[in-house]
Amino acid sequence: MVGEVVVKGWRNGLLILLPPEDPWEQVVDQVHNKLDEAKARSFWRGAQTTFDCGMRAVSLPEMEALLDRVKRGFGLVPVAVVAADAATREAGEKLALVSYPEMPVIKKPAARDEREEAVQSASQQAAPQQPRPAAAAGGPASNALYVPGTVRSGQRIVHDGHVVVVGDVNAGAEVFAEGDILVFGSLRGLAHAGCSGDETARIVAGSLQPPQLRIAGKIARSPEAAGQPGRGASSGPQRSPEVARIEGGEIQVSPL
Amino acid sequence: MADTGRVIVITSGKGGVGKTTTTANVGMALAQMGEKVAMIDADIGLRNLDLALGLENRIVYDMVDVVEGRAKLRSALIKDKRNQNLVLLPAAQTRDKSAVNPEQMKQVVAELQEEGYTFVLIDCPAGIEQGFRNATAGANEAIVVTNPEMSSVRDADRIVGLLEAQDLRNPRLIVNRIRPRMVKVQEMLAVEDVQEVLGNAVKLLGVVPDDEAIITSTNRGEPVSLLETSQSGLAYRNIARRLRGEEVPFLDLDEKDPGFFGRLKKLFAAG
Repeated sequence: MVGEVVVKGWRNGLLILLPPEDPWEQVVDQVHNKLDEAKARSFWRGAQTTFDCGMRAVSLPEMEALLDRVKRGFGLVPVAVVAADAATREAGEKLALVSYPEMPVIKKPAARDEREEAVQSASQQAAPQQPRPAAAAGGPASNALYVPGTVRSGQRIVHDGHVVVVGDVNAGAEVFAEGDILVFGSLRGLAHAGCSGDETARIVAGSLQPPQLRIAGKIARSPEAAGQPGRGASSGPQRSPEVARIEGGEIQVSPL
Repeated sequence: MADTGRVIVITSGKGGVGKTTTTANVGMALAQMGEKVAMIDADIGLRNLDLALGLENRIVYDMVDVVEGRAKLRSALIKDKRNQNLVLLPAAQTRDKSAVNPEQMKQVVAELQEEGYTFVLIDCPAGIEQGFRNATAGANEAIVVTNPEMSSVRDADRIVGLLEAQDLRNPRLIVNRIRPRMVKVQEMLAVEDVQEVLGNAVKLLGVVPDDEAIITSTNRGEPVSLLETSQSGLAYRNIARRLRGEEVPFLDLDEKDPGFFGRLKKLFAAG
């Protein structure tokens, strides 16, 4: 009677299929082990995750325990649950997941498209304040937040994927991303890429002049500037794009 | 609400950058140009605008009296002693910001517009709390005042973000207290530096030089915009003209320090 947890990637992130009959604790452990094998700790961090419970009934505390484990242990972002059992769907909704009664068979292309659309709109419902671009092929890149203008002092952007700012990030503004941070204009505020521990995250800016950079657990301060006042267009430092990433255990900045 | 009148909030985030002085001077200059101007001091509990205008001794009722029904709006408005086009609705000094809510502010503004004031200027208190929310509630335009220094610019940036959230888009910028000589030797932010931070959405409305005349005029209650000789007064008058839609070139502030040859040239020109 031992079923198996299946973890796989698909266009909308991560899909976790739960076996029908094993005791719940074993299921949770299995999910944990599978993700561990798959090196999910870094690779799937920030991935939108759908759980397929099949015919299985899952109670609210059970589901909560599972979500907690994948969120804390692996940085996954649960977005949807598929379950035939109505109470299970209800439990999922209580935990801010979008629920579906069934998963259309993957082999039929038409049905597949429908399902993908459904889950995609589901993820939009789950986070309506975060406009998402049409998902490109797989991975955390499909979970990027597009910020169309300048982030001003006092504004704070927190996102579980990449963040793209088409404008400046001004002094006093904060951007936290579990993935990379891309700023087309000047970065003068605080940026923290890979904020849940991803050391491969990068920060790219058209003009990199923040007081401090953070990637994963590392912090780098900018060198104390000599001429404080004239930091702007007329007298500022070089304005070529730069990238910050962790190299040799330290944050290094280099031309893009 | 009449859609003819313009309701402009003058704000900055940081205190002491010159919101009240700007309100008093721009208001006075607009009135001198024939506009009907009402000014609201929204800094309840820290009343100042009356002093800048020299109207302190005429206050009988204030905004809180109006809002709480103890006085009619018309009887609380103080006519300026120099210009009949200008009135002031003073703040209460003994209460605090919670004495008025945004709805009441909108109501007061609507009443002023019905009275036919073409410009309503609201002097916003420092900070981003209730006082700010009150002051911006009735406005349909915003002016952000900043000094050329980092802390002031950062606060201005914060304010621009908050204004956008309240649908007061594209506020206009006044850079106050600029010292051209310090800018020249890069000891002070230039106007361009300020603009670079705040971005294109914020258009420059005026640049006012640092001027000792402001201190004496504020103490006397005589807005500098009434002084023909003062450069800051000229800057405020230019701001008022731009608000009315005129194209006025920005002052060439370098003129103030023409150097030896410049002075020599001026001497000859004068002679």
